[in-house]
Amino acid sequence: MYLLFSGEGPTDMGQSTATAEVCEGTDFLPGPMAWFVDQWVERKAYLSHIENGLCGFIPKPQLVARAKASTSRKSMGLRGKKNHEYETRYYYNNARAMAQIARERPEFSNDKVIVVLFRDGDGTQSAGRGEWRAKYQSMVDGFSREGADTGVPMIPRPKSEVWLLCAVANNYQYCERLEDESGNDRSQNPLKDQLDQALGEGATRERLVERIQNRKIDIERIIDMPSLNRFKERLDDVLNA
Amino acid sequence: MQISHISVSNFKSLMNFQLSLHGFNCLIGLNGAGKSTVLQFMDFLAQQVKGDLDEWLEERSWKAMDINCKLGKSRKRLVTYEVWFKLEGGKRLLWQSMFNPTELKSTSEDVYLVEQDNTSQSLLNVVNGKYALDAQSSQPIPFDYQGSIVSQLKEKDLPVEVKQLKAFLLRFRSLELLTPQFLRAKARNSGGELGLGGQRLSAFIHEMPEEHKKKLETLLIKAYPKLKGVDTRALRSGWKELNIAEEFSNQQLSTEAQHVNDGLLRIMAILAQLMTDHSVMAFDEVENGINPELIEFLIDTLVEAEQQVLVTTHSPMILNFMEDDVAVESVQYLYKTDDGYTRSIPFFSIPSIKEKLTVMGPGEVFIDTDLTRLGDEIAALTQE
Repeated sequence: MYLLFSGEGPTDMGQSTATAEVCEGTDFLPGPMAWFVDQWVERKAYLSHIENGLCGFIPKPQLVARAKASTSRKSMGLRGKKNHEYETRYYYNNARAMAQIARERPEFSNDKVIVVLFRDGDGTQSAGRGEWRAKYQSMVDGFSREGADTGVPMIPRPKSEVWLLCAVANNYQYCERLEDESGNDRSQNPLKDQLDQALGEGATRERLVERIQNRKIDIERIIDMPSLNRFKERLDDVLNA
Repeated sequence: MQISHISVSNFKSLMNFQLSLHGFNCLIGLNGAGKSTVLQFMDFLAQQVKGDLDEWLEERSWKAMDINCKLGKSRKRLVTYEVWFKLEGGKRLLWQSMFNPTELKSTSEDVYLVEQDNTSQSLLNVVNGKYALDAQSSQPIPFDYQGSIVSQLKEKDLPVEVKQLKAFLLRFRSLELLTPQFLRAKARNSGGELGLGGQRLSAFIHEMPEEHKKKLETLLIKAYPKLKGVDTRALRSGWKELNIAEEFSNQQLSTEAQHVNDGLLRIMAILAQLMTDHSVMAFDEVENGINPELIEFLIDTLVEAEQQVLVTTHSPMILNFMEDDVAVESVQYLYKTDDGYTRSIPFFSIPSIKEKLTVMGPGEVFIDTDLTRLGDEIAALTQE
């Protein structure tokens, strides 16, 4: 089995030190969300895919370039009776592009590629608009459109900081309401600042990863966050399939 | 020469309104956001140098009081505006004016020539019933006029750049009300111009120089391969009739404009206008009646036009057939503030919209965005 990641930045899925479409080995510096995925998979697979080099990372610019190349001037996703939702195409197009890249991996035909795409539920691309559920479904639809049934949307509501805050600020309790916080970085008390405060230091990729690796932030103990639970369920379904 | 920026206050919903313009410009926004008002203002500007404001109001069935902004508490009557023109060689012209709707004229007016280093010289100054040209001593205005004084001053007296400005605005054409029944009607003569609604098309094409007619035919055939030619003839009474020749399975069919489809007539009107020496062309809801297969042809033609072009649209297809760089530069989103004033912002400069453009076509971004809620994001931006 092979894990394929893509995300928004270093403090979610991670970053790359190369410009390849899929970065592997030392070219990929996994972020906290990649480690979350890895740990959740390890429960079932009994090995760390990251530590064993069984993973790859698509940098955002490369994914975006693929998504843009696939758009056609002559066809576009229109809203209508069958599709009322706004603010979904961003998720759909990114998922499609990622599935296309996944399909080109040799592991796709002779093994299994788990495709995990991270996007903020409410980041720059939607600025507070659109339904989380519709965004999630669009990503699933985007994976399916390209025949990748092993695609898993990782869409925190509103941002990954709330999942981490559940552990470091809430001691894993009453976390559901964190999902109603504003994802706006310019709001009065931005989530990034709240996380920095709770950690007592800047929430860098390295610091977050270290806490996840030594289970000071434990994905298994975060149980009352619907957006994270949806991710866990889907990943389990894909692993069991 | 090109209009590069306008600011205007107290013209309908335009209050402290700013708009930057390029060669090709596309206004989008919800119904009632002020797109047509902007086109009306542009036409109002052009009328200033023609003078006859009574006629302008009549053509639109407006009264003078309809010009003013009805919002807010202020009951100021003066319409103030500032227009920047880009000239060849990096120089610019600045035209500032205060228009009094009661007198239907600009009671105060300035034109400056602005050099690249931002030094400027006065070319025209009107204030307190006196005027001065080229910073000479001012003299009383010996005549009555409507609009700008430029409409009445003798051509030979005007500084070169003011003459240029006037000629430029005289060649502004707005087709904001293009309607099939007008396009279809026979006309006697066009006076070299189509009406606001496309009136006099048959005569306009009849009067076109032969080479323009040929060029128009070639362009139309690109859009409609079945088309064989466009033909006009003068009837005995002086009316001009427009006919379209098509070929179906080797059979030629000639159809009079009365029975030609709307889209073809509209495309014909737009193309015919682009062949004139107009400086700025404005088309409201440019997509109307035009089938999707022709949208790309239409947009390419408008983007490449020699004239400055201003269109409004509600169509995601129109946007999707723009190249990203064209869309980024030319698409302006018009919206209303909570108190009802029209504002503009380059659509693809809004952060969420810019991010979405990285993985979608411009039209797809437009249709995927809940415009009724976009105001919140813009408000947050403008507060910063």
